[in-house]
Amino acid sequence: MTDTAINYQQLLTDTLQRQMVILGSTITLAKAKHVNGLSVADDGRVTSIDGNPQKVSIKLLEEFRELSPLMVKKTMKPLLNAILTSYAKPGDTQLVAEQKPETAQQPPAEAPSQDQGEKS
Amino acid sequence: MIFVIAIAIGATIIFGVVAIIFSMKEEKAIKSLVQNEKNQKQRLYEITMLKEVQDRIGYSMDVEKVVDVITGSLDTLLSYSTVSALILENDRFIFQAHVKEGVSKNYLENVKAIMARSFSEMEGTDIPERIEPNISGVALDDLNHSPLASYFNIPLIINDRAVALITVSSTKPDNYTEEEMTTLYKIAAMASETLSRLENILSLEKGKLMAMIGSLADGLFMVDVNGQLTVINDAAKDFLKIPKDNPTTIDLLSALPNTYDFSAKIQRSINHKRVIEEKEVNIDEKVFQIFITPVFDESVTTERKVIGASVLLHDITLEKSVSKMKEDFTNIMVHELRSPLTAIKASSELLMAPPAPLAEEEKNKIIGLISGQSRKMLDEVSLILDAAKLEAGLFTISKLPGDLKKLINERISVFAPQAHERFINLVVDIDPSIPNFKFDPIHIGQVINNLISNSLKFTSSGGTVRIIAKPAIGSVVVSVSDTGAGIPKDKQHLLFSKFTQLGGTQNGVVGTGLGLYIVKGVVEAHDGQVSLESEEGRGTTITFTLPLDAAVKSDAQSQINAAIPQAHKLMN
Repeated sequence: MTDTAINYQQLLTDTLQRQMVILGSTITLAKAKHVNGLSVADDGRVTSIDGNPQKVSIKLLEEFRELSPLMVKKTMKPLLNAILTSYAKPGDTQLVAEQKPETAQQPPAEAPSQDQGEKS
Repeated sequence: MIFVIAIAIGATIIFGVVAIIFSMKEEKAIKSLVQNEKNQKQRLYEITMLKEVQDRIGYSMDVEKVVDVITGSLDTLLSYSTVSALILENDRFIFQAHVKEGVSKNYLENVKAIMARSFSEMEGTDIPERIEPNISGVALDDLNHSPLASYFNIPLIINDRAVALITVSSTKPDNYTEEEMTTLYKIAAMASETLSRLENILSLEKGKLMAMIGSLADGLFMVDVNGQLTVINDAAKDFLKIPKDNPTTIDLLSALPNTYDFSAKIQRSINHKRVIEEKEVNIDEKVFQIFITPVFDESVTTERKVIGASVLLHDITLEKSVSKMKEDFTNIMVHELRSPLTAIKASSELLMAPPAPLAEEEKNKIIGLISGQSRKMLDEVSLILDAAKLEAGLFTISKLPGDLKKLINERISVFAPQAHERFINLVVDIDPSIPNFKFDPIHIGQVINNLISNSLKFTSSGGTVRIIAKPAIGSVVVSVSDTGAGIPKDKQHLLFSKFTQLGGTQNGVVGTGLGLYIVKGVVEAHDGQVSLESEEGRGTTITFTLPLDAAVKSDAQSQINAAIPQAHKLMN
């Protein structure tokens, strides 16, 4: 199991166990069971993630989004933020803007001068 | 025979298989029909509920209403033992439970604990342990030991805030299907989104309203039916001297004067649904006209429901003080005009019917007195006329070329005997280089008269009145200062107002209070400026400038330019 998978496993476990407190275990486990590649124990612990953990996480978010988009925003913030951060590559300004609206975009770095190029 | 039997068996088998196939298909079709019917029923329920929620929300942010709609028709969708709601309203929690099956008190406590944990997890705050439940439905039955076997919680969220939580529970295990629960979540989600949109619209409208209320010069605040402060503008905060940031109801109540029972008046306005007007209420050092108006919930069309009261504070301090000033002025004018008239009447009666023949010298003295008093009265009337013209914008001046130095000296000579008599030093410093220029000699003479006369009035024996006149760039500056009592800072702005009498003269002389108002008007009519410097206990200086006309200006400038090298020479 990779580090990423372990992180996601913990994150998903935390998310599901929190959802069990907020919504109750019946609906939480029912929604989790629809997610292909996600194995969950009755106490909400994620026992394994089969496949891309990000995709599995997105699928889980979509399952709960079907219940209520506002509820996902309110109760699943850590998982949402993790997904947004992992997708926010340097060039992905839209996602970065969603995460940090107040951050000014940096101008593109100037091309190195001839001297610098030769030195390097 | 065997062949026939074989055919019969074969036919039976085929028939049986066909029958089984048909039967399976039929069963499948029935199942499908039942499922379709169930889906249709759920869909119909969902649509009905969504419409009901929309209708009931209307333009009201009443979360309790929404909860009622969702919980009130649950029977149509699923079976349950209790349906409960934890509602956060005005920072206060309300716990409602509808009991359909006689569960125990302990069961209900478990439900409440589950809901408290859920709410706490969402909002990150502790929920008070003691929340009195509002229970409806069948009576609780402590003999029923059935445990809480299945439940699910549905949060109602408005713009990232959990405002309510509905919990459906049952004594039966696995009582709820995913489809049933999803239907309810979807209804709650739609209600949450509608309430969030409505809150955004209301917040925008409230922002506009607050900006409008905030820009009012009158003070305005609003309280709800429980007397809690809901809105207050900056003017009201200033009038009542309460904190600018988030003032509380307690801040408001402690700022309101004890002499006027605001709470009782507000309650009366709410109870009787009528406007209460108070013509004059003193708060601190100000006087207010107060209107207390009941505020109605316009969304309720059947009966006008009062939701609070607004209180408007209209500051009438200035009107009151102007009215008092006018009253004082009338009294003073009556006195000022009556005194010379009385003297004139008595003198003329004496001339017409003397008790004994009058000597020529005595007659001349009486005629002189009549003439002096008539002049005094005429001066007073002229003052009033000038003030009236200034106010109406009809005041005009007639500029003539003249010598300001000479005019000042003439006026000083009039006051010199009075100063001498009262042992006041009259110090005069008039720069001889002041050029002749155009000004209105009559009105500027009146200005100098007023300033010297005022200074003498407010200076005690042994004090000094100093008159300085000197040229400046493009103008002439004249100042009259005294060593009198000075004017308090908070009253200095009133000095050039009409009818202002700041009082405290040294010789008990009372004026009309128009003098400095006219000084300002005359100087400004010359495009000049008047300024005041005063310190309590040290005295007052009033300075005015008169601009030189263009021709004189260039001449004066060349004189100044010529004087500069000489000054340098002297300094070296």
